[in-house]
Amino acid sequence: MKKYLLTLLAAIALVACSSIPSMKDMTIRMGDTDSIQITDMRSLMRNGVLTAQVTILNDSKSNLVSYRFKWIGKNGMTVTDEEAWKPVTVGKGQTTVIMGIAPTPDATDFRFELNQYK
Amino acid sequence: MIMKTYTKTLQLSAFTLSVALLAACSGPQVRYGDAKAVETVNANYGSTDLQMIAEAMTRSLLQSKAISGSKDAPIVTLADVKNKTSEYIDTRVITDKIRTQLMKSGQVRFAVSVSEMQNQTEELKRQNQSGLYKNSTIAKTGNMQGAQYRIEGSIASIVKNTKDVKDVYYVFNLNLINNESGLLEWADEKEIRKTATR
Repeated sequence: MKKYLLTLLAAIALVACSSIPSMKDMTIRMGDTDSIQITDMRSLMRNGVLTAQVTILNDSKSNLVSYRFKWIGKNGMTVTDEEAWKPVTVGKGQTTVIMGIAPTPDATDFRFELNQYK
Repeated sequence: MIMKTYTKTLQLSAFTLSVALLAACSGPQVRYGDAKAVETVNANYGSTDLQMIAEAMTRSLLQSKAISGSKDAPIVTLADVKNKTSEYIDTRVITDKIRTQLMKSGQVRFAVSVSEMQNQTEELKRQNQSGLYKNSTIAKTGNMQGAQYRIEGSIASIVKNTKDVKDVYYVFNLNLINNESGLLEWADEKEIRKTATR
């Protein structure tokens, strides 16, 4: 009986862990952005619209980085056209909080894209 | 022996000639770029500034109480955005971009602005006064809906130049004004700094 309960608990825990994507899964990197670390990612439904907040930390060199959000609605479909790349200046050792607001109330999820720019 | 070197030099010269010809024939190339990419040609007003401003203003406006708090989609019209910088900036493009993004969100309805009224009145005049249209299908004059709010703003810049550095700072201000009460319902600003080193 105990064994059965333990295996059931482990199965539930595994299922719970797999359903929430990690910060790494939600970040899409292009170009050379290895010096930028994502330290925090959270979202909230505010005024009927999804608001996302990402905190990034610049580890090493002063990198020219641009970001954008990809907003995902029902069935994993992207809600709008691609956003414009927005450049952000993060000094060495500096953290910056990046906020994004979804363009429509249909967005229920988001991905954070990072790219370098010349 | 002499024949071998002769053919070798002939082959080599033929090869170099063909390479030179190919290099000369390939002139300037045209490639399509990414319209959303960051543009860093110079420190003047550019496409990335336009995109950043329009997006920031749109998202902020969608969160305002006037837009998100009202049951029906409020009716808004575009008024002037003054260009207070020393550069040529088409501010109409910024407000058109904001209007397009707001329309796509489905949260706001737009009425024709002052610059588009000419087309609107001409169309109404044509339908009502020319006598060519069936009476039941005419868009009648006197039924236009007035806008409850208007969007207006300004863009200003501070430019500083030295021998090696050009620093440009833009600040874009946008306001949502209630047409009837004259109150400001929402205001936001977007700051951009660009630095060019020689």
